Amino acid sequence: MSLLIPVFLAGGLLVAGPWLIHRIRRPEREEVRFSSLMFVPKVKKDVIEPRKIQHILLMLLRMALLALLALAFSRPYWPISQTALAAEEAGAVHLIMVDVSLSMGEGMAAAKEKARNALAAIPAGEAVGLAVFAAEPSVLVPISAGAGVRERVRTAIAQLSAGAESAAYAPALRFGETQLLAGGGDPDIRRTLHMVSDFQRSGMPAEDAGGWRLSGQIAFEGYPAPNQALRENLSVDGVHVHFPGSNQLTVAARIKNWSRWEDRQVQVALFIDDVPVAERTATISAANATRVAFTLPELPFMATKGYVAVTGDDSFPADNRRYFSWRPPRKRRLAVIADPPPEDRVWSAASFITRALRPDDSFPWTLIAATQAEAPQLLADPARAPDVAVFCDLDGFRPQTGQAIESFVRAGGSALLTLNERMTSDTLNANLLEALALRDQGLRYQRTAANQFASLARLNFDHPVFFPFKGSRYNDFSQLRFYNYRRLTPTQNDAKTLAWFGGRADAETAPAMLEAPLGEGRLAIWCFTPDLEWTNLPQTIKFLPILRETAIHLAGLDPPPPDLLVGDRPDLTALLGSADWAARTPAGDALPADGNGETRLARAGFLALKPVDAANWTRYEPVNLDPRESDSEIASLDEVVLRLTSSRVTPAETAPPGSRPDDAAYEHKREFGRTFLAALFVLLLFETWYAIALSAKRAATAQT
Amino acid sequence: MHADFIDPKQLARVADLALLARTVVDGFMSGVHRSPNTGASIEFAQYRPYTQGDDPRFLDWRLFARTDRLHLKQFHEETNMRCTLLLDCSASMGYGSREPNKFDYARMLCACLLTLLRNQGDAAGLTAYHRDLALRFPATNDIRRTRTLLAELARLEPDERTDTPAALRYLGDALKPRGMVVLVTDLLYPIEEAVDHLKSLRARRHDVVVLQISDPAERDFPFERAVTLVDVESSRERFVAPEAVRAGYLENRRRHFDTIRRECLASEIDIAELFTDAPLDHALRFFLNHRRRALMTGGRRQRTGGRRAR
Repeated sequence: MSLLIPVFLAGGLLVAGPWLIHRIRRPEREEVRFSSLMFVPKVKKDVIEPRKIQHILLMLLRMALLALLALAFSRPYWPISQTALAAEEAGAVHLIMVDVSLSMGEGMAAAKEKARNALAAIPAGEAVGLAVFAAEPSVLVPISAGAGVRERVRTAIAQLSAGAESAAYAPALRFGETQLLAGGGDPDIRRTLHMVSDFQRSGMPAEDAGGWRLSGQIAFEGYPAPNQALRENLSVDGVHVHFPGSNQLTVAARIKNWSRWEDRQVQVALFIDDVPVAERTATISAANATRVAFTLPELPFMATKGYVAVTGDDSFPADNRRYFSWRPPRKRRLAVIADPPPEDRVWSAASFITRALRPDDSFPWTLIAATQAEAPQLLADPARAPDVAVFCDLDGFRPQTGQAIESFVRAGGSALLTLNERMTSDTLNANLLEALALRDQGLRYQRTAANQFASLARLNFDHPVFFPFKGSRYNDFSQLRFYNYRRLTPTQNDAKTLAWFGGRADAETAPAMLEAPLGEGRLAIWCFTPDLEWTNLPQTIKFLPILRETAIHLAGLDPPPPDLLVGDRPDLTALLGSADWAARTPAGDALPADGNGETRLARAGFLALKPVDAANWTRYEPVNLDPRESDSEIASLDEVVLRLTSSRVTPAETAPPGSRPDDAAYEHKREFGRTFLAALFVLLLFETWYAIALSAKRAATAQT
Repeated sequence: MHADFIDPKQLARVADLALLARTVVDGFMSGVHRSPNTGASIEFAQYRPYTQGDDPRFLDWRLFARTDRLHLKQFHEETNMRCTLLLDCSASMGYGSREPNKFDYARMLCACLLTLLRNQGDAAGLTAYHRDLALRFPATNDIRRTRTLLAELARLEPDERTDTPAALRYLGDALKPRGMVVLVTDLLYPIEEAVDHLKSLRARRHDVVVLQISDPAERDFPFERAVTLVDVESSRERFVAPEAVRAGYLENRRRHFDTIRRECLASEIDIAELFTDAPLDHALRFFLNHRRRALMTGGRRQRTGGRRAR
């Protein structure tokens, strides 16, 4: 046994500590003259002697603890002879993993060369295998030490080419670990994972990805093969299709210049059904991105699919195209459910709401009018039920109305309920609000007055209803006055408050607009009724956008279009909510209806969809390249080793075996300091238990 | 008496035993009324109307001749109690965990008692003993002899082992009967013989009082660490772990003294345990109470035998 850091043996002097402490604390045989021993009972010898031994044992234990600590810090090791080392190396296993993701591109030639070099550096007679990885890893040549395996690996390397998927390093390393540890973790076998990749940082897991690391039994050797073309790359980063409601369709693409030094002027073209329909020229500064928007002049009331492409000279053209598709929104039905207003109301809330939601080109909804008495039947009828129901001017609040609203919203519908003075707290709470964890506490003012009003003190501009008002040009709501409102108090935190009352004349802060989740639908509640007796909101320019945004938000329950990437395995049932669909991948392969989640999307394009019994493809979902593959930022090998491996061996590229002065020494020593630490831990537990037991015994003796 | 002067720790610094005793006793007696007991002596006290059963010898016939009424003539009691203090001078009395030790405390106590007895007009003597007699002063009223006695008492030192039975045996032969015997000791010896001889003293119609002197350390056994205890009389050693023996020690001690107290009470022997951290007036008060009880019981005999005043 030898020691790597023998200076720590000086810590062995600490063993004198327990001896000194025991000497100091040893019960001294101090002689004390006493008047008489006639009452002093004799202490049995078997009480004194064991105690002496116990204390000596405790002292020895503590000395041993410190000695073990000093030994562990000295890093003892057994020197391994060259013969033993050679014997161990005969059992070495190697797996070469080559990155075939999109980003490798033109760098594949260099990657193949590195892989061949790695293979050549592996001593003859050792087992070797080849695997590739991108989004998912796969074995090309299984690990073997048999004859001809090296030739098979060489042949496979020569046939490698980059794919269209993105690289994921953590799954690849897990896969490699599984391959190398297959057949048991015999500690005498040396295992090495050789990874050839461009080591894009975008493929690294997030910092908080669970902390998985390559097993310490496996040495990691990295061979960086960066694709130089990515340094001057242009890419279409994303495409957003926007239907603002007017007779237009806007397609906005984000073009990124990955060059760090050179500004680029690019041609960006919009293709609809593979036909170029528009083209723009844009200048993008270095390491920056720009947004290029196309407006389609005619309203396309039919499904549209296309792509945006950067044309012209680019070093890495693979990511210059991004596909999109768009389907016209389904026509909505909106019901305004109102009772006749009081006779003194010239302008009722229903009249304002009906006028504000009148269908036009930008708001192509179907408007339905009904009374409170008709509402339960209307909402329960699947054929006539609206997407959104707006309740206003209700004359009281009937139990049937509450039940109809609750069941309608739970089933996926949406509703807006405005509260007025003709409702009572008891009926509101009992018939609806208690189910929403809300409580109505009555009117704020019993009598309204022109100089007595509340304002909107706070608004949630991150909510979709108020999001369009975010920004200093639109966020001024100070002109709104509310002469009365109903005080609602959330009894739980489920309700989402969009706006709060407050202001100079009203110190109380109460919700003005709420949204309560209920089943699969949404229920918005305005704590006021939009007529002129209650508020001046209908007279302001805020009324129409607030009401329309509220209606659009309440109706906008369609799931967002799927964001499919090359390498994904689409699950049609999860994607479309039904298994009765047939699909065809961009490569032309049919997705089996009962084999969801098994077929990978190998290339970009469109996933064509249709109902099983339909003749033509009716729907297209874009399949794009992972934009992260365009990222030219490379992680250093040190970062890869630190974040993904437990290996202590320096990667081969930066320090080839034997180049480091202490490599040879390190390789030939087997440390076993951890054994001492383990013994130290066990001994510490024993010492603690023993000391506690002695103390308890002494206390018990004293009591008796 | 000011409390500071009664504190044994303060008194132990006073070298003059006579001065100490006078100070304590004068202070203790200040404010205490003279005994109201009346009896036969030459000092006239008062007249009292005759009632049936009174001794006709004390009728004042001259007053009868003048007033035609029978009156008794009463006199202040004159006591001549003979009290002997018996001081244990064994080595164990020299033990003290604090100032004063048991012997100094006992010596101060004896000095105070001697002074108190002299002031009361009683005859007081002292016998100090260890294995042999160390000092022997028969009871006397002579003030000069009392001073000599206090001077001798101050020179006494505890020494050697105790032989209380032998001392009591000697005193039983030497003392005149019907006196008071005050035994000042720590009672740290086998008690069977001593109790027998105390009983024999009691049988000779002595009033016997035992003042047991103890040190607070004997009461509490306050040792924290393991020590080797050395018997001051026999020089025997014993290693003790205090936590292991404390309970046994306290139990043995309690049983020992309970036995003694039971025996003493059965023989009408008053016994009190005095700790060296307690003021001396506790002991003096105990003694005076005992003396008062003794006079109330034995005093009737003396009153009837008093001389008639001329």
